[in-house]
Amino acid sequence: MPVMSTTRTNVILLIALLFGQLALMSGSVREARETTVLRGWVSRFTAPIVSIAGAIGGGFAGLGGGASDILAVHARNRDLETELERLRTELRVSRVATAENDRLRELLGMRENLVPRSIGASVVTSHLTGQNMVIVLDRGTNDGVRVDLPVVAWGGAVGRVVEVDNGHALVRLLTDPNSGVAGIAQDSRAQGMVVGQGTDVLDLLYVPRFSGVIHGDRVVTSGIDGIFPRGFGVGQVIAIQEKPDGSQTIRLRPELDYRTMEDVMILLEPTGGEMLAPSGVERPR
Amino acid sequence: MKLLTVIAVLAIGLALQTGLGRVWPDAPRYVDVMMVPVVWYAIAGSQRSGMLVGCASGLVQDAWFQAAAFGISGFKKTLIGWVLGGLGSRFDLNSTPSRFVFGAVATLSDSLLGLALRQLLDQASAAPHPLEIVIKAIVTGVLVVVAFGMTGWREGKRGRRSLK
Repeated sequence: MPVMSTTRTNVILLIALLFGQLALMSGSVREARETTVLRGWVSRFTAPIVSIAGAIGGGFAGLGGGASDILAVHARNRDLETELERLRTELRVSRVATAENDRLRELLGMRENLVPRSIGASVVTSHLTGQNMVIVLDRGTNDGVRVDLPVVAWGGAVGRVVEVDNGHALVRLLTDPNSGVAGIAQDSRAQGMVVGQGTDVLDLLYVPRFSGVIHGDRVVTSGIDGIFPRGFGVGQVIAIQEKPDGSQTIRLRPELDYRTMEDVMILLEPTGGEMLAPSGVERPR
Repeated sequence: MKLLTVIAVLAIGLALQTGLGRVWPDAPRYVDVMMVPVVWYAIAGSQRSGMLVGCASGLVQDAWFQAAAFGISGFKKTLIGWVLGGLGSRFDLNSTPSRFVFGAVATLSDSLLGLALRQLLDQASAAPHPLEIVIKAIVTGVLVVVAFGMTGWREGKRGRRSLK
């Protein structure tokens, strides 16, 4: 008889726990406040463990990387010297072009791109699976970080902050299957939506068939999603597939290698939507 | 004391998962460290402890590594902890092969349940390669065996000390 009652209690407890977690999942998808609060408690309670383990892991990663880096440095040094000479020549040419560009921009009445306020952050840990492609950063609400802020690195867009506590931020990478960012091909100016696939590639969707996108084109953020400022590298075209509905699906190789990323920058001011508003027009207050 | 042990075990699991993710970001594809305490408590403890540790372990995992549906790992691991705990109380699972099989089957179920739940919640996800799932199950199964080996060794040492 006591065995029966234990089994029954376990079943009741199981149903209660499963039901509670189903409610959490549904709340999380709807971005309910209660879910965020519970998540905040769990992450606050376990944050010291993650910080310490991330630092120790970072040390190991640095050791492993350091040995192979020394071997590679000698070879790269020679290449870089040659590259430096070439770039010096290019710099002289581009200075002339920049000055010309400034004059033309002024003539067209376009506003300068505002450099958004940002803070640097280090990667505490990464979790790259087909279901979740996220990184944890060592900055949180104490540093002014909040949900939906864009994260970038040298050379391109990284992802978007989806959860944040006092000292940490969870960032959904562009390659996450639930991620999406507005993109534009740099040469053909074809626009579309870049979505993650949970793998090492991205897809640029909703691009018209005769948009003129070709292999090797670079896709950057267009800024119209109101999260990423325009101009941050997203990826390079590696395949183009035509669809029966008259559009194309364009496969991209991401601009950044998320596996080796150690430091990133969180842009503290969303600029995309604001920047694209026409200048000289009075906004409704 | 028991609660403190559970907290310590989960903390070690989270630390290992975090450290591993920092050194090798692809590690979560091939190993689920947070599954080890669930299987351990389901086999060595009771059905209830397996279920509760599964719930706690899953929620911790969700809080740190889940971008979309918070609670999904908690749901999976609670269910797995309950099922394993039920089987553990009916069968003798004190041999190395049975512990390995339980660890592997639990991880396999976790992966498949995850896919089903994401479909149910209309969340996009890339189906993992079958080989990835198999490797993850094997590696986690081995970790379960290692965890049992370590606790057995510790208890043996303690027993020898008390005999002296």
